Amino acid sequence: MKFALRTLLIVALVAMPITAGADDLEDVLGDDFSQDFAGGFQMGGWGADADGSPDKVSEFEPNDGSPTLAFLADSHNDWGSLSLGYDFNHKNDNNGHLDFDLGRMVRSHTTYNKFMHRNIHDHMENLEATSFNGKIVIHTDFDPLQEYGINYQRFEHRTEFQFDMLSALTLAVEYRDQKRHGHKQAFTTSHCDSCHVKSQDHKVDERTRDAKFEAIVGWKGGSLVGSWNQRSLSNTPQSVNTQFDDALHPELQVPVFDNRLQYDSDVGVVQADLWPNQEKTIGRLDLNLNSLAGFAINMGGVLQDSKNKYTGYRATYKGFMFNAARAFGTKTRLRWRARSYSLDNDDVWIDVNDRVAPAGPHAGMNYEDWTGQNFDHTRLSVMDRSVFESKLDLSYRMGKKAGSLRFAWDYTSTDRDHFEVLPNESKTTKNTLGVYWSSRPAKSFKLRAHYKYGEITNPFMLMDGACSTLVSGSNSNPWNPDLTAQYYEFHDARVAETTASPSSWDELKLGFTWMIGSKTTLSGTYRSWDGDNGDGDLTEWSRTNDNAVLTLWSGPTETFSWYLGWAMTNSDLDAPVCIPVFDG
Amino acid sequence: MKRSILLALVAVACVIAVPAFAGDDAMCAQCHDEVAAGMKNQIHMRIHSFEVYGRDVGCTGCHGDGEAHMEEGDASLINTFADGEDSQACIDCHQNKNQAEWAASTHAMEGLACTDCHNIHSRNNPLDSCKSCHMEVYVEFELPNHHPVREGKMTCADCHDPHLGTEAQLRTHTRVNDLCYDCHQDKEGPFIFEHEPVVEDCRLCHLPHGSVAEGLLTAGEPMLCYQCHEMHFHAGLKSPDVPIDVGGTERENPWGIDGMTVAFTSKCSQCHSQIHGTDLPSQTVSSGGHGMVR
Repeated sequence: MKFALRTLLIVALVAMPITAGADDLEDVLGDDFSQDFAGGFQMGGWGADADGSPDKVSEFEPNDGSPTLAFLADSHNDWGSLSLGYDFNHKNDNNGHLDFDLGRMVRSHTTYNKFMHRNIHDHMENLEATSFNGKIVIHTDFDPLQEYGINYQRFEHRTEFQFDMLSALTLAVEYRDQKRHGHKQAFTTSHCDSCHVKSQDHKVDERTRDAKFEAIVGWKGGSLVGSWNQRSLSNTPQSVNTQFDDALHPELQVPVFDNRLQYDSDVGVVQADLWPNQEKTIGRLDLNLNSLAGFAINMGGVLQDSKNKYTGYRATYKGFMFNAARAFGTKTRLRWRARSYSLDNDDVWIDVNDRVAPAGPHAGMNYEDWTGQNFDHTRLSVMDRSVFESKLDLSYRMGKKAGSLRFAWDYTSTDRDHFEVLPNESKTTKNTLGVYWSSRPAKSFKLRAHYKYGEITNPFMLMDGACSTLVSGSNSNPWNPDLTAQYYEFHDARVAETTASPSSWDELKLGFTWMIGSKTTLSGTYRSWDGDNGDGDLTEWSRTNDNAVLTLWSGPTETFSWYLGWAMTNSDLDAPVCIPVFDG
Repeated sequence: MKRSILLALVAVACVIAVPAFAGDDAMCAQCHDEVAAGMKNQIHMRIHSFEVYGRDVGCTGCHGDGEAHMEEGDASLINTFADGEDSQACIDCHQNKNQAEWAASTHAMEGLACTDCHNIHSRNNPLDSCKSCHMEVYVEFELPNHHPVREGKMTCADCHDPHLGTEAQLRTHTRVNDLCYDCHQDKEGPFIFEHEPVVEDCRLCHLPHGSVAEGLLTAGEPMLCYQCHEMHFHAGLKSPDVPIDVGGTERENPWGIDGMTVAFTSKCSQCHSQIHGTDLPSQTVSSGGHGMVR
């Protein structure tokens, strides 16, 4: 009874506005704008043959063949509209949509798409060697014939409710469901008896779901928007199982070695390649004022919490943003954007499993006992930080042919709580100045150019990341490790700050667009980027990128376009690499 | 039962709330029949006044009162957007419809007009227009490794909203990393064992549009890693050119004297596979578990 009553009410909800709105729409619009149904249907098939590396030649597409089916149905009537479409290209490649509105008071948009992504299968042939002194690298592929790849499925839905009698309020619900099914290659590495890299199939059954509720209070002069998003990520299975090899002396292959491993075959089968389930909540509140003293204002805050459900640890983001922009007359515009946020990640106590050597010169002792080094520590996250960003732009329109000039100054300050990028320096400051010019010297011809210069104080670097100064004696003796420098001593003796980030850079970009008629465009762009960094000890990093593109694009119909292009990319990376000479 | 009554009241409220569609759009169509044909079922001809807080909708919503124009036939008596630069008529409504940040967007600062990207008198919007100004970005999707934009599985708008006031008009009001996590949530953690640049910014190692290197990396392995890390300490070991007996087992050396170098300088992520972070400690005590190998 309850079900029947609910069904009746839902039908009434849908049908009654249809009836009520019919006359008004018909009177005003007649047949010119509304009241119709259109649809299309097509079917066919395709076939293909590919050899070589499928992950290269058809990374995102099927390469076998399939029947195809597509249909589209559109209906626009007094009660609202409905659009339903589906395009089946392959069982792993299809998409669809369902859009409808009911008297424009209920507006719904739903999409679904599915596609595949092939991944490489690394057969690890390079991992097979034995050194003169008997160190071994070997590999085992437990699933040598497995094809790796992921099928993505994404379902997205949003429905808005806004009623005429209370039009200031819009409520919206969103739901997203992303599934990833397939197989990924999982690697584990056993140390000590040899470097033994094992590969196995890790089945992927991942699901990311978002449920979002949004409320908008709107008026002619602005809006207040609040939203709450709850996300969950689940993986089945979360990990693969593996058993690490025996801890043997690497060269002698007998258990006489002082054990410096936290685990080995003794602990039996353990988890590896773990993908933890996660939860994430995002709350957001924004106030938008279309004009306050002539300025369009946006201000808002975001509170975000991410939780790793395997460990229970969580990280939070708290951020505030402010935008102010206005035009002064018809020629000048000013914009200032600012944002401040902080990230806070839980601290984690790392209790290293320091095991007792079963034999050898340190039998009965653990690594800490005979080195005097305690490797237990509190992991303080790199994530913890406070950031402030400011972006100020001023643009001036000189005229249609002379074009517009824009000057921009971007400033970012990142103050990390724990991570130093240079000795005693945990704060990175970026300043970027830019000048942009665009013009339309002729109706069908546009020119663009910009130059940007960036300077970064204390860019992101790995302090003491490479180049050990420790010189070990030539008296290395596998039977007496006391005579040999230990790994951590080499690490501690590194002196070079290393990086993949510039401390200063500049960029020049030139471009043109020539519209040949209304449906064809010839465009060209040249871009040059040059950055370098010599801030650290022994750091001489530089990178240049040069790109040139020339394209001819044509769109003879709204649903068909093609382009012919020529592109050149040249990238030079210059970075010092330290080659430690250790045990060799 | 109470819930059902409540639902019934909502249904009745909907019926009462159905708006009367006001305007004289059909009259415009009498002269502008070609435009009207393109506007058939277009969203601007279907929206209701209450959606835009009482503003005019239909032809007059954008072009203004057309009475004088109809009488005198003078195009200057209505808004024609002839110079392609006056977007205010669009902004008036759309500032309240998910585009509140338009004025603070880089596109607005560049003086772009709505009609530069949108064809208002058509159902198919927007135009295929990102390419016309950002072709050098679009061709990056032709590189061997790329997000599947050229295959049509993604669009520019999946990551960028051209109306936002955010960095690079990205669809995020938090960090760029959070935008990546929208689809790659498995990379967020937070993990116990962190890889510092992963936490800092995905773009330190990845080029989001396309790359020559595998995995959208800024440089191929191992050079990507060597920018911050020295070579593995076993990379300099030499191997005999013949099989060698170790612990009673004869070991092959298919790569000859450079076997160890080939093994340790090809692809770091074969062993350090958990490069985005992990909760499981690596094997060696001296690394404190931070080796990112399990």
